[in-house]
Formats: sequence, structure tokens, C-alpha cells
Amino acid sequence: MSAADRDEPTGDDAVRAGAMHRLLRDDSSRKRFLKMTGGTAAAGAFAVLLAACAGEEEEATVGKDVPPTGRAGDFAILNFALMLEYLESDFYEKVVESGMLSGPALDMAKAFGEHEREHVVTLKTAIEAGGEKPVARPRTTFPLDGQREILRLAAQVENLGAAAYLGQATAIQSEDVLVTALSIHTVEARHAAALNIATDQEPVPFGGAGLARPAMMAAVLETVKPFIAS
Amino acid sequence: MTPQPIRRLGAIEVHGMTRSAFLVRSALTAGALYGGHAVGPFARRAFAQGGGDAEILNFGLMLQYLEADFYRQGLELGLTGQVRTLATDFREQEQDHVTTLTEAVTGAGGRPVPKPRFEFPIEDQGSFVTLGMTLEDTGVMAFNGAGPKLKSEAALLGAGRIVQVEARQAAALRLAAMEKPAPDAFDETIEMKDALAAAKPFIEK
Repeated sequence: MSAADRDEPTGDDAVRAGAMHRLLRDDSSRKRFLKMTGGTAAAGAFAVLLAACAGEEEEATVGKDVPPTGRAGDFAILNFALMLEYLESDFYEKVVESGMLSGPALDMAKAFGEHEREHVVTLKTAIEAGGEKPVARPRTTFPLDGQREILRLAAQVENLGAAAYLGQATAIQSEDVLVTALSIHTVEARHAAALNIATDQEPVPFGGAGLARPAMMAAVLETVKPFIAS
Repeated sequence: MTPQPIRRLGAIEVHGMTRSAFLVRSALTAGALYGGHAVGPFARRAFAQGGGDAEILNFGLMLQYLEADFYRQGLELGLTGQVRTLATDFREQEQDHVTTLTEAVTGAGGRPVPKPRFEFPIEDQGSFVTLGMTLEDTGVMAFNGAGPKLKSEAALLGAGRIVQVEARQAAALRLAAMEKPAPDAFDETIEMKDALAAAKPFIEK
């Protein structure tokens, strides 16, 4: 089962309007991101994606059996990343709403949730700027069962997110998309390390080795399936 | 015009700043002010090893030499508790990075740069944590800046596997320093020459 199947018209105007609203409201954070990645990269993901969209019609989807390559591949990867960021962003939103966290754990969930929202806006904007269709925001469901379990689940989700970005790095064709993906990848890694520490796990959980392990797209989609409400 | 991330290096807030923490800040700021011009003979040597992927990988190798040696010297200070555990683990991980990058340079047809001698302005656990955090944050920015320029997929994957670990180390040290583990939604990038300039004050003449 691919995430593309879930991209059916949840068509949901409210969701769409909400996303638009966030997009507008978060415009400043997108600008900050562009500024931050510096002159060269600032032309960045967006300009290049715009330039690249001349007259090609491939549809960017997530989780096809045969991964597309080239430009279509980059958009498929961006959509895959967007889907993961939607999940993470929703997760933290629900966690904060649950009222089950307090103190530093709550502060961390709020801060990380804000990062994920910024990732969503950036990826969605990049996909739209390229004239492609962003995946619909999935409806999510997470087992929230007290602070300890929530932090463990958060650690699991963030470690998976970091591995997922790493798994896509070599498949990305555009240098600018790669810059953006790497810049998100290391933030997911920071989240994962902090949550590992909060749950008495190693910040670098690779059996003592200094090399992170990538996860492939199909495996990631399979792992997050329980969090997608059908 | 000093690039934004470099200016940030010199602007890190330090809780209960020690004299050496102040020195660290000064050194990084000085490196930043001089920009490319502060890059010394060692750095130029790092760039003279063949160009292309080999050059980028040698740059990464130099940073990993620096980090590995930083943890080695830190452990000689008599670190304690959780910080000691982190330093012990991280030293091993940096050594892994050195090995991986040495092989990658050779694989890319280059000659691995020799390991320089380093000197760090650290005198206690506090200054160790503060500088460690800064070095790892810089490593993340440098790898994220240089990685996309790699042509070889294997080299890119290797760099990606390394930079994720750098980011995790940075987050852990930031927590140890009572700083936010992930200060922003996106990690910034810096150019190789700026990273080398920031590293220069720690390389012995």
C-alpha cells in the first residue's frame, strides 16, 4: 500500500484552507530559511524547482514500486519527506494538546513541533513552486499513553525520520533539493538524539559505530502505516 | 561581509562563562573576521590534494582529525559523569569517521592529508562542553555545505552517515551545556574555507 493511495480527495476544504493559512502565516519563516541558507543556496530549492518545471508532466507520487528518477524522482522524494513531516507535525500537535507532558518535555515537544511545521511549509512550498502537487495531509493516529511512552514514541519517530532522509540523500538529483534535505536531516537527528537522551538511550544509537544507518522509502512507509488513520 | 553562521559562532551565549570559554569565543570570532585570509598553510595543503571529491573528503578528514583529538585531549582533563561517557563514545565515533574518510579519499584517487597537531583552549569540564558543542555545530554546517558538492554517490552516502552522527553529538553536548539541542528548524551551511578558518586557531604551528 502506497501513500499515493491515501492521497485521494480527503479534499477537505477545511484542511486545505488551514494549510493555506499556515503557509501565509509562516511566510516569514520560509524567508528566514532562504536567507539563512545563504546567497548561492538561496536561489536554492525554490528557484531551481521553478526553472526545472518547464514542460514536464510526470506526476510526483510517493511509494511507487519503481522509484522515478531525475526531476520526477526529486519531487517524489520531496513528497515523501512532506508526508513524514505532516506526520511528525501532527504528532507533536496532538502530544501538546493531550496535556500529558509537562516541564522540559513539554517545552521540547513544542519546540520540535514548531520545527516540523516549518519543514512542512518549506517542502510544500517547494513542491508547489515546481508546479507539482503536494501530498494531502494524512489523518493521523498515535497511541498517547503518558509522558514516558510519548517520549519513547517521539524518539522512535525522529530516529526513523533521520534515517529516512539519509536513505534518500543519494537519490536526489538537484543540488539545491539536496541542500534543503540535508539541512532538515540534521535537525531530525538533533531531535532524535535529544529524545534518546530523554528516554535513557544512546544519543548515537548505532552500536558504538560512528556511522548512521539509512532507511529506505518502502520500509519507512511500512513503519509509519500504523500512524495513518484509515 | 562575514557569513551569518560564522557570526553566530562568536555569539553563542555561555552560562557562567569561564576564561577559556571566552578564549574559545574569541578564537572563533577572530577566525571569522579574517575569513578566507586566515586559512593557513595546513588548510591550503588540504586543498592541494587533487581536487573534486578527494578535496572535499580531505576537508572532512581534517575536521574529523580535529574532533577526534578534541575528545582525546578532553578526556585527559579528567572529565566526569555523563560528559565523560559522551566524550569516550564520541572519540570512538570520530575515529570511525577518520577511518571512513581516509579510505574515501584514497578511493577517490587522492592522498589523505596528514594529521596535524591540535591545541584546544580547554581546562575543565565547562570549557570542554562549550567548545565541543561549537565544534560539532560547525562540523554539521560544514558537512551540510560540502556534502552536496560530492559527485560520487558512495562518498555522499558516507558524508551523510557521518553528518547525522555529528548532529547527534552536537545535540547531546548542547543539552550538557543547558542549550537547546536543536536551535532552529534548519541547520545552516558554511563554505569549506570558512570552516577551515574557524578551525585554524586550534591547529599548532
